Amino acid sequence: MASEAIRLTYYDKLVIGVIALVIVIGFIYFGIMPTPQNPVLEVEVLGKVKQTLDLTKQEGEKIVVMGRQGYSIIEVGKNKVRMVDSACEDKICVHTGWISKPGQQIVCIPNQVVLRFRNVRSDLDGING
Amino acid sequence: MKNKQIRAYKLVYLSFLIALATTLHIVENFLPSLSFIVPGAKLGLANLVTLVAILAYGWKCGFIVAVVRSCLGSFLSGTFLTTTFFLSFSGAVLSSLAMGWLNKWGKEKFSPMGISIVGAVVHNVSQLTVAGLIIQNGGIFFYLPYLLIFALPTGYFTGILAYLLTRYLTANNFLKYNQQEK
Repeated sequence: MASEAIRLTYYDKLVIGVIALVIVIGFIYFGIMPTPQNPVLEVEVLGKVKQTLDLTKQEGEKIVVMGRQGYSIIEVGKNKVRMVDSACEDKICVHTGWISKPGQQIVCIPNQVVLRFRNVRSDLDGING
Repeated sequence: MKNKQIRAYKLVYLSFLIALATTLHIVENFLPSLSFIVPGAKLGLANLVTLVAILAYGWKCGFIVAVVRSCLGSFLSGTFLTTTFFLSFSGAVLSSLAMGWLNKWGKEKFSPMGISIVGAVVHNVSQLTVAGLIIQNGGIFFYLPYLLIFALPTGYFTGILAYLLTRYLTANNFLKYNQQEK
């Protein structure tokens, strides 16, 4: 009964194909980034890098930074880091959980706090571009 | 006289759709399931109603539903004029315009599923752009491939649902007068 119209047209498939291509290219692009031996975590607040953390030395520490709406509490674990609590309303950053690999990041948009591992490749891109 | 009656009907049905979209917008915020896999990923239930409005009444009504529901939804959840509001507002406005345009100029070319998938992708891209502007860092586009993986199935099923819902409501004379005034 309903099957005659629930069928993808040629243009639908074209759009899906393009999106699938973008997904594959995106994963390849972010996948080929080299893995630094000693990752350094950058804490970015209001668009500026406020401090860097060495995860191997600061295990078990809790760091509090003040963002746009208030505090963000960062917990350093064994080669990993997470957002314990934040003053934002959606708590997406807290739900992201632990991150441990370069390329991963925790982003709190309302509080404008970003945690990311310093990436060798992105530094090069900054010089080239 | 007749024209007045049609406009009254349309107003009532549009209000109903806006109420439905606002409810879904708020209920969707209670569902955290997807954000554990990809932060910020959503089912797009509120966009479903936008698509129904576009399919039944055209792009203007879809735009009105999208704008009013994201404002009302943020009023009721207490996030009006915060960053959460700007994220959902920009996504709702741009994706409703994209879906309305596709429905108007490519009705034979695209099925509702295709329109819905394009709407979901436009929603993701515009949200990431606004998020990148707010945190002043383009690195957030790192999430785009992950979000797009969810945009395909959620957009597809939202499209099927919107199509079936529009057909059901039109067949049952609920959304009548949909052809007379456009």
